[in-house]
Amino acid sequence: MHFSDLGMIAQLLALVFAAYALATSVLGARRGAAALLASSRRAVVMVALFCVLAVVTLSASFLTRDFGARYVAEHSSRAMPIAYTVAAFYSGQEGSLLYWCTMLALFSALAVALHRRAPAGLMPWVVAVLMSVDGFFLFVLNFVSTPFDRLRIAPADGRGLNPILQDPGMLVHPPMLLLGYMSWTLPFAFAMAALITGRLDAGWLRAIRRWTLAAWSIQTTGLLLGAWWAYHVLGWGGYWGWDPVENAALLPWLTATAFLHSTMVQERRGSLKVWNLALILATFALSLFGTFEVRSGIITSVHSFAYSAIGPWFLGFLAVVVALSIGLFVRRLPRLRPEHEFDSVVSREGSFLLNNFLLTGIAFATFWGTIFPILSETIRGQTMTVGKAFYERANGPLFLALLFVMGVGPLLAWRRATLRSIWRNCRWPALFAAFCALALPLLGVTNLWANVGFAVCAFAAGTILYELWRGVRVRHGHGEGYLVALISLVRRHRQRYGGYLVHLGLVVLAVGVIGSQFFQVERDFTLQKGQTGTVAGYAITYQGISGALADGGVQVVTTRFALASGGQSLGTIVPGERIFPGFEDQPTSIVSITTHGLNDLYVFLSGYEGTDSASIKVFLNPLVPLVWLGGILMLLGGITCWWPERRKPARRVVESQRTKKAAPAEVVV
Amino acid sequence: MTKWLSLLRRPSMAVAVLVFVALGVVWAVTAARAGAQQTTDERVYAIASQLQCPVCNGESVADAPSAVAQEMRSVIREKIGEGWSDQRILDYFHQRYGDTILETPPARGFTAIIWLGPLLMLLAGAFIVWSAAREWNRRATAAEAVPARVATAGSNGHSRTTRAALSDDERRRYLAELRRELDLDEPASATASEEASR
Repeated sequence: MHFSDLGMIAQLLALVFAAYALATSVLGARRGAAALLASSRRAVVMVALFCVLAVVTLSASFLTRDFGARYVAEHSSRAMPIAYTVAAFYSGQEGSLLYWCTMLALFSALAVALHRRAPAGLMPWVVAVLMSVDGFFLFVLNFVSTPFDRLRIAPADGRGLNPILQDPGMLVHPPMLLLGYMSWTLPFAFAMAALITGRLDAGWLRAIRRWTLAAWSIQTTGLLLGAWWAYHVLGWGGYWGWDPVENAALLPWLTATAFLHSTMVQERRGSLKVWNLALILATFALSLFGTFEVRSGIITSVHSFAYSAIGPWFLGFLAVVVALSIGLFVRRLPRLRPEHEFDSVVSREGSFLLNNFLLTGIAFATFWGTIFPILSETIRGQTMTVGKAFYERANGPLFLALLFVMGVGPLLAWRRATLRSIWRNCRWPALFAAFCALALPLLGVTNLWANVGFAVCAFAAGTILYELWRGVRVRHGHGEGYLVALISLVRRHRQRYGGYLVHLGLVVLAVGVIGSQFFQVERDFTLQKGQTGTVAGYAITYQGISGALADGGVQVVTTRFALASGGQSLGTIVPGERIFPGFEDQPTSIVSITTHGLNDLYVFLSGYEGTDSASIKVFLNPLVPLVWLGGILMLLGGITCWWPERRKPARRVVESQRTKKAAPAEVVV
Repeated sequence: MTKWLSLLRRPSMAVAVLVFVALGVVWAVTAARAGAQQTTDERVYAIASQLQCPVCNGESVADAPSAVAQEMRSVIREKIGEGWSDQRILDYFHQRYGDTILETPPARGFTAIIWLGPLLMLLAGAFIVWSAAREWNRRATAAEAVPARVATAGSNGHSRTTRAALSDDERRRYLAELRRELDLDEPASATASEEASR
C-alpha cells in the first residue's frame, strides 16, 4: 500500500464526516436536539483530522519521491531540494485545493471550539454552511480532480517544478493567499447563519469581528508577498501589474475592507444592515472566484501554470452560492430595517459611507477590467488585453479620494459634525499638506498628479499623527511620559489605534506607489567589458560573466557589474539567470536589487553574447522601499486590531443582558 | 460676505488663506507646463507603454526586450522626429495590428463599454448615496419640527427623544446612557471625553 492510497481513504472519510456533520447540525438545529449538535461538532473535528492525514500522506509521497503517484511525478523531481519538494505540494491545482480544504477544516474546528457558548442559536447553521463549503471541495478532490491517483507505470524521475515557482517567495506567497481566500468562509458562514435564523442584530457581527480582522491580515500578507515575489522574480521592474490573478486577489480585499468599516456603523448605530450582509456575501463570492480563476486558465495571466477541468464545477458552485445568498437575502429584507436613521451626511457614518462607495467603486472597475476580455471574446469573438493604463486611469482618482477621506473621516463625530469642528481638527494637517505641495516642485516634483497625490498623503498622515499627538498630550497632562502615554494609549484602545496604524501604513505605501509610478527611470544598455552605462547618476560598469553548476543540476549564469555613484564605489552587483534541468527553454532571472536610501536600483540581465558583452535593463525605482515599509505597518496595525483585548467585567454583564433580550431561535427552512 | 472678510483680519486665518491660494497657483502652473517639458526619450517611452508587445506575454512595447518591440520603439522615435502627434502614432499602430495592440482599449466602438461600465456604476452609486442622504436630511428635519415626539428605537431598548423635549431627568438618563455606550462600544472615545473634561 502506498501513501497515496492512504490519502485517498483519508479524503473520502473526510467527505463522509463532512456530510454527516452537515446533516446532524441541520437536523439538530431544527429539532433542538443537543445530542445531535454535539455529535456534529465532533464530526467537524474528525473532518479536520482526516484532512490533515491526507495532507500528511501527500507530503510523504513527495518526500519519499513516489513517482508512481501522478501528482508527485508531475510536480517534483529527484534533483529538487527538500524545501521546494514540500512547496510543490501546492504548486498544482489538486494540491492547492487540498490545502484550501484542510485549512478550512482546521478553521472550522477552531470556530466550533471557540464559539461553543457564544451566539448559541447561530452555531449549528455556521457549522452547516462551513461543512457545505468544505464538502464541496472534498467532493471535487474525491471525484473530479484528485491528487492521489496513480500512474500505471512509475517513471524513474518526475517532471520537476516550473522554474518560475522555484523561489523563496513561492514557499510563502501561494499558501498565504489561498489561506486568505479560505478565511472569508467563516464570516460568510456567520452571515448565512444570521440570515437563516433571522437573528440579524449585531450579534453575528460581534462574533466574526476578530475572524474578519484575521482574514483581512492574512489576505493583506498574501497580497504583499505576491507583490514582493513579482518584484524579485519577474524582472519587469514593478510589483503590481494589474494582472487578472492579482486583481482577483485584490477584489475580496477591497470589499472586505469596505465591510470592516461599515460594520462599525452597524455596531454603533444599527444601520447599514443590508449593505453589510451584501458586502460579506460578495467578499466570499469573490474569493471563490479568485480561487477558481488562478487555476482555471480562463484568463491569460502570469499565473497560468495549470489548466484543468474543474472550471464548470466551480462555476456551478459559485452560481449556487450566489443564488442561495440572494434568495435568503431577499427573504429577510423586511427584517433588515435600520434601528437608527442617519442624522447627517457630514458625520462619521457619512465618511464610512463615502469610504464604502469608493472601495466598491474600485472593486467594480477592477472586476470589470478583469472580466472584460471574457465578455469581448463571447460577444464578438475577439480576445483583447486590458492593460495597466485602464486600471490606473479608472482607479487612480478613486484611490486619491479614498486617501483624502481616510484623513478626514476619523476626525468626524458620530451622528453629526459641524464644519467648524472639522476645520478645527484639520487645519494643521491641511496647512502641513499645503506646505508640502508648495515645497515639492523645488525638489523636482513637477508633475501635477504626483504633487496632488503627495499632498493628499501628507494631509492624511498629518491628521493621523495630529490625532495621535493629541491623545498622547492628554495622557501626558495626567503625568505620563510621552512614550509611556503612547504605549498605554495604543494598548487601551487597540482597535482604534491599530486602525490608525493601518491607515498610516497605507499612506506610506501610497507614497511609495506614487514615487515609483511617476518617477521610475528605465534604461537599456548593451555593454562591452569595461564599458560604463549611467542611470540617474549611478554608473554601472560591466566586469565579466561566469557560469556555475549549482545543486540539482541548475546552471547559474552570473554577470558582474561595478556600481558607483559620484565617483564613490557602491560595490558589485551580480544579475544573472538560472536554467533548471528539464526547463532549458525557460531560464529564470536573478534580478539584482540594491537599495540606496529611498531608491531601488533594479538591474535585470536581458541577454549576453559570449564573455564580452551583456545587455541589461536598469530601472531606478524611487521610493519602492516605502511600499514594503507601508505594507508591514498595515500588517502590524491589522494584528494590533486583532490582538485579544482583556475583557472588562462591565462589558460581560451587558453582553449577557443583550443575549437574554435577543429573540428565541427561529428557524425557517 | 463681510463676515467672511472679517475672518481674514485674524492673522492666522489670513496666512492660511494665503498658503492655499499659493497652492492653487503652483498646481495651476504645473498643470499648464505639463507635456511642454517632455524629452523625446520620455515621449517614446510614454507612447510605447501604451502599446502591447505583439509577441510577448503581457508586456508593453516599452518594457519588452524582444526585437519586435525594439523595432517598434525606433519607429515611434522616427515618427516623433517627423513631427507626428502622440495620437497619430498610436492610430498608426492600431490600424496595422488591430485592437489587441493597444494596452488600453480605445473609448470608442465596442470597447467603449469598458470605460462606460465603471462610470455608470459610479454615477449609480453616487445617486444612491445622494438620495439616501436627502432622505435622512428630510427625516431629521421632520423629527426636529415635531416637538416632544418620542421615537422608540430598536433592540437596544433605549429611546430617542428630540432635544427640545428633554427634561432634566431625561437629560440625565440620556447622558448616563451615552456614557455607558461610549465606554462599551468604542473605548477610544475616552480620550475625547478626557479632553473635553480638561
